[in-house]
Amino acid sequence: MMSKEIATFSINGAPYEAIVEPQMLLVDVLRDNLGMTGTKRVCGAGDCGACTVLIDGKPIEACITLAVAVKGKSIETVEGMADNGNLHPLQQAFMDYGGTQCGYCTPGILMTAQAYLEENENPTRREVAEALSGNLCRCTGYVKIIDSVMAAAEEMRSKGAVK
Amino acid sequence: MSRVLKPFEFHEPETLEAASVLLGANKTFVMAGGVDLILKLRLRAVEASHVVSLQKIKGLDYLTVDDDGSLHVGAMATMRAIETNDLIAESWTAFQEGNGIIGSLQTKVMSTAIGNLCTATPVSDVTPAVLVLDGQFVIFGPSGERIVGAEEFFTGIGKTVLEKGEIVKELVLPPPRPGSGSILSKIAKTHDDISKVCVGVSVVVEEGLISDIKIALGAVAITTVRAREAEALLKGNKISDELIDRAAAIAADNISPITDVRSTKEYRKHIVKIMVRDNIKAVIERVAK
Repeated sequence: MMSKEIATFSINGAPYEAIVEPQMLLVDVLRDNLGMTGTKRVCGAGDCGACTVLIDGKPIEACITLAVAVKGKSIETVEGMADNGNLHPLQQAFMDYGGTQCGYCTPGILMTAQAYLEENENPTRREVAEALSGNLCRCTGYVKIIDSVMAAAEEMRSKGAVK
Repeated sequence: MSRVLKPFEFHEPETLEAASVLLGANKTFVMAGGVDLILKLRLRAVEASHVVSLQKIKGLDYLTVDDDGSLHVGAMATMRAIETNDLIAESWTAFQEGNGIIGSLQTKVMSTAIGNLCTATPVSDVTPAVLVLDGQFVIFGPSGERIVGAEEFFTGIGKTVLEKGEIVKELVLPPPRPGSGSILSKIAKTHDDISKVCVGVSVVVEEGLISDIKIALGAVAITTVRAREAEALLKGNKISDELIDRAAAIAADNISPITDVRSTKEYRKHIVKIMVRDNIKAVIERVAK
């Protein structure tokens, strides 16, 4: 049995403590308890993808995830994408290719795209569209989002080749 | 929909036995991936005093083929794991397709196939596959294990044969027979939306004859239903477009779907006819290859 507790979460590689109760949702703990407002709260029903974070490298929806259930797992949020101020290739591509308009869906899209490119480094446009089908954007019409992900994938492949 | 959930106690047992004991209490709900349960809690559709997570029970996420060639799907195997499993795609195609088309990447990463089946929603894209592939549910409970066939498992909207303290431990799909194949497709407003209609078909073809066929229709009744009269018309007969058309028309005639937010009864009947026809033809083509 579990009630109120001080829980430790591993977020973007660092430990964070928060007082949580079993019914608290991960999106709320991230935003309200830990001040990480990059993860967006929108539909609250697991439909729109704006709250997407990675758990052990896989994209999940933080609005339908209990915070207590992910203690001890690796949590990645958009705050952890840039490396010492250097933007992740996906972040840079979204700026370069206009993948962002109002920006509210962007963090969730970045997280899903990051996880998907780990699985498939050379996707087709259709595969990217399918991977992002759970991330709704009401501004862009998706073309520039897919342009951005394709460009980032190319950039990441070329960097991999340099290594 | 409420932003916050009402308080409950959270349990993370490490064995099925312990989970079963906890689930014997009132207002207690089992959680696999949590996609269905958390949404219901937000909607206040259910009131939970206790939530029992199965996530800390080790070794329940298996997808294995036994010596007899049957597929065993563990209670915690995710839809994404099933969707990306090449062996399942090859031999239990409708099951792989149902888990693949059901929703977004995130939902499939979080959701378990068995969790989806246990919600017993008539719009599940997994259920028609389990019906046409003769699935068997292995149920763990206070008085040991019992096995229930897919036909008997679902008893109504949100209702199954599961009793207090019982947990589906695994789903078993029998090995594919020679000359067999299966298919599952859905029609929905968008890629990820809940189905207006979902159709699964499995066939066994022997020397140009349909020696066995099963057709299951989702989102047209209070449970997923078999199109038995259409199956009977086809069974044992030579494959022809005319016969398939007649069977598809019978499948559509025999259902009484409702009109709701996702579709109308007229459209559902119309599209069932087309999807049954197209899926039978497509799966026969697959078997021929």
